[in-house]
Amino acid sequence: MFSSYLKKRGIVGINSRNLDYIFAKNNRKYYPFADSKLITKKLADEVGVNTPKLIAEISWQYELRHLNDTLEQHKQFVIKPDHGSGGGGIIVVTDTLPVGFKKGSNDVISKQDIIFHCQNVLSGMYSLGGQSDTVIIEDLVKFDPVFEEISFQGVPDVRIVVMEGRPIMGMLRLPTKRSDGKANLHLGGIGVGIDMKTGQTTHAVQFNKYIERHPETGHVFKDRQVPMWDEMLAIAVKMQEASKLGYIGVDIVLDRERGPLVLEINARPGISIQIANNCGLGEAIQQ
Amino acid sequence: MMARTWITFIISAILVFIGIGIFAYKTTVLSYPVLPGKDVDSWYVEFSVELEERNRNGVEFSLIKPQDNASYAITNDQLFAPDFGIRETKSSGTNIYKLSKRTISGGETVLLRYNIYKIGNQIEIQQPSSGKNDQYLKKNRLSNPDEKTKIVYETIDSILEDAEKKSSGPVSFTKQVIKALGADEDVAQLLTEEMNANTKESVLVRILAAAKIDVRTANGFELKHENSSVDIKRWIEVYNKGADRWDRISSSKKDIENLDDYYVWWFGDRDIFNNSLELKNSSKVFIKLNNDSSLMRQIWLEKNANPFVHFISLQTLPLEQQFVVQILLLLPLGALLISFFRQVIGVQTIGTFMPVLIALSFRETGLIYGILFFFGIISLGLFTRAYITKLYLLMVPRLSAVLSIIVVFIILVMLLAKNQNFSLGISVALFPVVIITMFIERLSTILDEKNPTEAFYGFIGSMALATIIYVCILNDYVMHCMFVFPELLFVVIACCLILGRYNGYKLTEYWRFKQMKKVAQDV
Repeated sequence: MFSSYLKKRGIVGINSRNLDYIFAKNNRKYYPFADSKLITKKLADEVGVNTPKLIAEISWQYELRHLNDTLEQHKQFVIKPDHGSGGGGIIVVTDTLPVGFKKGSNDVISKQDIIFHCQNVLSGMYSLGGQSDTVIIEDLVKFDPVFEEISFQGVPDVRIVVMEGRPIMGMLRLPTKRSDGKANLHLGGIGVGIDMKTGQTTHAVQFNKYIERHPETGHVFKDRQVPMWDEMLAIAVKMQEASKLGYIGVDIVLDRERGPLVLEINARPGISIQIANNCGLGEAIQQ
Repeated sequence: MMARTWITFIISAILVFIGIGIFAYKTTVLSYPVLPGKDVDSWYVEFSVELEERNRNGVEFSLIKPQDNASYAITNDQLFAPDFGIRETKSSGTNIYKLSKRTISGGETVLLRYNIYKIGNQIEIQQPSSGKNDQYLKKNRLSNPDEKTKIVYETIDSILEDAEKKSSGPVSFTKQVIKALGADEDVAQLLTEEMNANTKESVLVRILAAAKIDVRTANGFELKHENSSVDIKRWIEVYNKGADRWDRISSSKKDIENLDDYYVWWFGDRDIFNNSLELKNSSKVFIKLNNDSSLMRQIWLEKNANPFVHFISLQTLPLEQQFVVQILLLLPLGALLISFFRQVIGVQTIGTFMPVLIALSFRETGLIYGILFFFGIISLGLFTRAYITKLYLLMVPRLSAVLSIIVVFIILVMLLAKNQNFSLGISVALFPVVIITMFIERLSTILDEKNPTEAFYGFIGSMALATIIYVCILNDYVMHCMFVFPELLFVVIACCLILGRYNGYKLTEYWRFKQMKKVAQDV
């Protein structure tokens, strides 16, 4: 209604994403495959795709008493709500110190903070609709240093949008100081477009604005090669087919030792990826 | 895909056709007014009395029941007096409610509600007042009065003589007597004592009776053309034989303004609310304009001519249900506005329908106070929540604690506002409490988990939308339209359906993707 330019570029707005892609291609019945990280994990196992190692899952309040024993064996871990969305409720612990736990942002939090956070997760603070949730504790990915120059404290990941067996668009998501070590764009992470054929990075965007260099490290984003790009594309397609959802975003992280790991899949992938690639989704589908 | 869109359009078209069809029939054939009536001649009245003393036993109260008269008709009168025994009696032409209770514990409230319709312009013609006050007529006087009674006779005679000289008819005569009594307080005092009268009006009535002027005491309140609190006043009515009507005169030196617009609740000297033990009490009268009275009358008249239309008219519901339905009908409109602002404009809000609820809570307070009140409560809520978070409480009990603190705050505000006549009687602010708590929880979650900018936009968006909804929807015109033409809901539903298939861009997405244009040009 407002801009013929947007239409000409084949840009998909939120309304169109919902009506023409998500409602049209994703059967509601299969949403749990994407909404629950535990189910996604199971799915990935079935089709031979690697995911980060699960340390523990906590479904009940009383289990938090044993949390200490579990965490003692691991210096690095990630706490996630099973049904979290948009990066909400994720705590990345990069080191266990005598005084507490060091987060991705270098802040130190206490054991009490961790338990309180788990309680919040269990009572459904981060789950869609607020129903009670499960806490997942996973191994921290030993991410490949290839993107170290352009990320700040946290795990960079690759988001690939797949529609009906075809990878449509890819984006490298980089954490910043602003995003507290998370790669989600709306939290202040940086999205870098990826050339689908070559796996080379193109434009970078933060808060819907183009930037050239990482605000913390100062390195340029452009023209970097995403390693194992073809494998990543293959994994993304595999996950899409396994989930029976027609239009999803697959988040993949590159582990130094284990190679590409699927973090999660998303039945409602965001539309900012278009800005990072400077290309409308509609146009990309046409190609 | 396209099929869905087309089906949606067809359903919407049918709904619009039905809605507009009924609307057109009502406006053209039945000539229902599209705009609310300007000539207000109907009011909702609420009288409340609160007992202030405690621990008194075996008390009986009497409350005067409002009655029809030649100018005003009373309908829908309801008495709310929980825990009281109620019976009706009649005493010298006045209907009285008798309320009794074993023990008064203080704070009991008795509420009386009714509707008034103006049906004529004349002042009530009743039989001229009875002869029981004519004990000071010359022929009825004692032949051997004692010293004090003699003084009373002489005083009355001198007042009457003086008034006779200075007046031309019963009205000006009465005014002169009032003036004379007002001028000399000692005389007034003496007469009141000697006549064993309760009020100065009864003194007046007796003096004037001695001059063979028909006069009576009337009590009532002004039917103002605004929603307000009014006082019950007492005045004198003088029978004007020549014009065959009763003229109203203020019984004190100061004139009461607009005395002709007063509704006479009862005649005589009794108080509206009497009790056997003279307990302290405080009473209030509120009036609220009823803008749809002409339409209501029309609908009642149609009862026989068009029973079906009468049956489906919401105006035939009991008054309290009408209030509920009026609000209920506005909710879909508010929701439609929200759909539009979210899907087409791209305004961010906290909670989907929260702005409608916020707008509704503004109704209780008014817009300016509402926004201030909201800001106050939200900051208090966030402040408490920020502190409570440090105590590491579980989520649900923590929410409950925040809710409780907000309730305390709201009650404090209500107590402070109690004396400001903020609202019509007992409007329960239950609704806003829950709304505000939910709002605070959502807001603080967003603050915690996303960034403050997002929370800020959400908060501003919510308040702006609430204001827009309050202004556009919660006004007399829209309320009238939806209430008189509820079939317009079909049109609202149609609009919602069509909006639901809108796959175009949001206005805000134009800015969101504006950068792409720049880069494309650079390349």
